[in-house]
Amino acid sequence: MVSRRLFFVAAILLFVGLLAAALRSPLVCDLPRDVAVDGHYLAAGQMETQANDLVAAVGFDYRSFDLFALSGLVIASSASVVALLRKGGRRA
Amino acid sequence: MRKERQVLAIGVLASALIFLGLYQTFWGHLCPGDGLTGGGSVVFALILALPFSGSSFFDRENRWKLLAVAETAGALAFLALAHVDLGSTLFYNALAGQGGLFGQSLPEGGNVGPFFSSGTIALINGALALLVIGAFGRLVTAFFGASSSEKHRREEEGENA
Repeated sequence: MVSRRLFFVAAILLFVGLLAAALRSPLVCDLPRDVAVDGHYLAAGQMETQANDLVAAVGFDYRSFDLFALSGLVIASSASVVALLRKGGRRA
Repeated sequence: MRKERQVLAIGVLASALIFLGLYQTFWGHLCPGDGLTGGGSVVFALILALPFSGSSFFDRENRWKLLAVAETAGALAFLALAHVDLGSTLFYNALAGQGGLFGQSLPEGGNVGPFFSSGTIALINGALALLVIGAFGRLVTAFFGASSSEKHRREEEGENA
């Protein structure tokens, strides 16, 4: 029982410590250390993708595979719930 | 009278949400928003409208079929847009700056931007919005259908008891 409490307290302390370190990190609201990729997005993103919204340019062009996985998740969640709730379907 | 006012208010809110969703989707390459958030806004409108739809709204079966078609069409369009340029990488934006539909050139720097720019980005936005509307719309329809059938079952049980 005592070891579980100790583990719980240690986990909370670790979480708070990591959160405090992350908030103090200059990477949160500052320039990234490696500007090779980010710099390219900022410098050439508008002209390469012909999109003013750089967030859309990154999400829908440079990192489209993220969307591919995201759409798979959307379809999987929809299909799962629909299969559970379908008329005459099995109920646990 | 009160019900009519509620339906009117919901109708206005749902219309505004649908407009917002379409705006987010089709102007996603020029201002904040994309197909995912745009589709989500349209599904919000569906959630608002469903409890007040009654029999005036198109019935559950037709709604179900329409949403299934939208989901499938969105997924297929998404896959097709990933293969626009077979000679290059997957999801390569081959239409950007090439002229024609969605290939208009964008001036560098701050500008409003032409609507028909950004190549496949705008098209992927549209496909993703269709997919999200279809998928989450079916979820909402399934839940509302399940809850109403459960209520019906309880009412029948109450009558039999």
